[in-house]
Amino acid sequence: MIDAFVAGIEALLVPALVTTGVFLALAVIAVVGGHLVRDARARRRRRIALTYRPHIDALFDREQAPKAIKALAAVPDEHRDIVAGELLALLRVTAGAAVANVRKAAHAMGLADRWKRALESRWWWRRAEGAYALGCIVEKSAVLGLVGRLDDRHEEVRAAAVEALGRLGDPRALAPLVEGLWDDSGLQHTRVVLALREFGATAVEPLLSHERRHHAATAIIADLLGAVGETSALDPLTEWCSDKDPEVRAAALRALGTLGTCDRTYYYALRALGDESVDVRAAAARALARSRRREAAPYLGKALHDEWEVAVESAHGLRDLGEEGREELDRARTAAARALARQMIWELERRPARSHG
Amino acid sequence: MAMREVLSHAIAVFDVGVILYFIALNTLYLTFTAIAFFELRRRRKRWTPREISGIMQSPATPPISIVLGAFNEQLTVVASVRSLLALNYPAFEVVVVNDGSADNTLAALQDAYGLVEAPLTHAHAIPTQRVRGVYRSPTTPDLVVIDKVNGGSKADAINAGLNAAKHPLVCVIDADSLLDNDALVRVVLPFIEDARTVAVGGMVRVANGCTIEGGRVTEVRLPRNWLARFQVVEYLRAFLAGRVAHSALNALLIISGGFGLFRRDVLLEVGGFAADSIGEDMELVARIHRHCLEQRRPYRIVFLTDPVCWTEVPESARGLALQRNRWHRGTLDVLRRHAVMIGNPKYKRVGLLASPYYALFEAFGPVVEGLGYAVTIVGACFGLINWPIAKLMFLAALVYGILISVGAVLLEDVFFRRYRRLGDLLQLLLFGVVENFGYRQLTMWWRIRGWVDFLRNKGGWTPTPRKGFARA
Repeated sequence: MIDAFVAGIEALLVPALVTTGVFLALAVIAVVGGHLVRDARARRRRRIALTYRPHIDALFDREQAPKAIKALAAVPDEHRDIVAGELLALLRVTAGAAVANVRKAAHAMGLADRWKRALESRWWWRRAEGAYALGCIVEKSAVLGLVGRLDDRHEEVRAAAVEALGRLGDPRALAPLVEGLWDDSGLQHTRVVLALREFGATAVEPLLSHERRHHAATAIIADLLGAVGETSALDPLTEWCSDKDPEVRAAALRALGTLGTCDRTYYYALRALGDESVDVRAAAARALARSRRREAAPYLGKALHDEWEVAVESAHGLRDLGEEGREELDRARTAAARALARQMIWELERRPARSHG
Repeated sequence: MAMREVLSHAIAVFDVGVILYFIALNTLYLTFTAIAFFELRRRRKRWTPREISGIMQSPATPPISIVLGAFNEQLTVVASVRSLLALNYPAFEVVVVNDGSADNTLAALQDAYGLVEAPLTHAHAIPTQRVRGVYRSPTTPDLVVIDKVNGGSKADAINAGLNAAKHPLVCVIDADSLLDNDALVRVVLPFIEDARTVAVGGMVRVANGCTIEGGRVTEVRLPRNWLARFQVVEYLRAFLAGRVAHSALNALLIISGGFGLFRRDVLLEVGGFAADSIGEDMELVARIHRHCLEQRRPYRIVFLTDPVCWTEVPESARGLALQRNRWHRGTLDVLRRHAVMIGNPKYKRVGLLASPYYALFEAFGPVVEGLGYAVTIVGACFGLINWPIAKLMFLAALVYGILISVGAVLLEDVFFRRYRRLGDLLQLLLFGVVENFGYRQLTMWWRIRGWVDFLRNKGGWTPTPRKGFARA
């Protein structure tokens, strides 16, 4: 009976092992073959890249650049992808005049047109690659094509388009970029903010105009105005300090804290220390701390006994407010905020005062 | 004559049982490999470099406290901390716990970072041995050093670090672990993707033989030492096939102590690492599962292959024996502590899949395998063995095992290709075959010794002797 059972197991096991073994053997052959092909391709790529390296390097040299562009224009079709890769790799670490030369070379080689056409490709990675490359060479003529990709169904393409438009800095892209703040992806929001930063002061008006049309966006716009870092936004921000929505008030005060406070906003921040919302009071304490105005010390000293979020901002602010700040911290040493005050005093004694962002 | 027949029959019955056990074990592992293949293929398309860079720039990326315990690490601790501080992540702190070192670990850190004593302002949420002092660096604000009385276990040191950690996520690593530059950015992704995530484990790879510069692995090569090469295949099989599949089933029962990221609030809820456990990493994960399931809380414990931690594996038989003995005692200890989960439907997949698998195949595996070999060899010597059964044993245990190892090496090459040279790949395949003849039986023996020591309540935590990384 045992023998029959063993024979039965063997009848099942042996074919299963043989099948699995054959499958794995084929996989091993494919993997080894893949290695050989990849190695051969890498060698070819290195060889071709080396051939054109002198021309690519010459793009940095104002005198030699025209000659190099001419030479690159003559690159045979089968080498163009490799040269394009080398040019883009160069642009990852380069700015300034070399970008213009690379752009000229890309035009001469027909790469710019190829990348523009790639924006309409059916393959998402080609569209993303095209958007990335056009951004790298700062191809202004591609703005509208890139704007069209802001609604692409693939996030990677939308991301590449936002990054490219940020690099281009063309005002025509501002309004569509602001709309991109409502993308479903949280990461895209960050990318749009970074792209808008590149525009500086010119981004303020489209952002405000967007806020006028979408009041629900006020808090986000306030945060963005702080991130864009332009003092031309101070007026609407101070106005929003009195908004009825605590989220908007907190965002406005956070932005003011980042931008730095003038006389008027200093008093708004002082007033906000008595706000009913903890977030607003914490943002106000931060704004006061960043104002570096010594007369703020007693107010921040009182805020040390507020909720933890407010107390932390106040403590950091007092640390940076010189003698007056130190006096308040000493006073708090014996009170409930003792641990925090001790920490700040310790930091004061051990290291030079530093700004706290 | 009749006695001989009875004995021969008994051996045959026993061997058939062992054969069925081997077939079940290897089929399970083959299934894990298949699940891992599809899971890795799905994950490969998930996060692109652009998204990774988005994580770096996003203000919403959660900050991390890296906690590492250091006991008599004066030669390596400064380089370890330096490489951790240079990791690519937007907001993190490094909390080093000097666990009552008898050497100059604390002095080395003081010299390197100009540490000064700071007030102890954090709560002592998890009881640990007494903290003697907290030190901070004026030049490196993201470094906190805790000096405490030795607690006799890594768990006690890590718990002291957990108390001091200020960020919502805590990354626990070994003092001799090397992280890839992007390891934190990658290991944090499940927390961003899904709010139910409570813990994530990263891949542990073998650093022996690799080129290490500035605390980073810059060139991946195979170790020169044979024992270490076998362990490369072993790690690939355990991590790429086993843990990926367990994670896909949300039944991951172990996150390596070398590299794991946890939600701090959950760690505090469950009371941190168990200081009296030998396998504290596995014990913690089992306790988190148990805690969340008993509270009917939706949760996820994930294993990822992209965040990589490099570790030095023992190159001597003695070191490896000590390690495997300890690991096995750890597994048995965890299964004993959480025996209530085994086969219990209340604990869902952990109760019905993961814990029975660990009990049946990980805990009892070496005993069954050892007895199978012993009975077959003795039977063969006395002419009591049925040769078709011996042949079947060879096929089920060794040939099937070879296929599993080759499968794991292929997973590595198809999805990661860390060993870029064709020669290294071929060697890995070769070692996947050869490990089944000698190495596997050796580790089985060390694990049986672990069983014996566990039953005799002998052992404790014995550090594994290592050579140390040659850092450039």
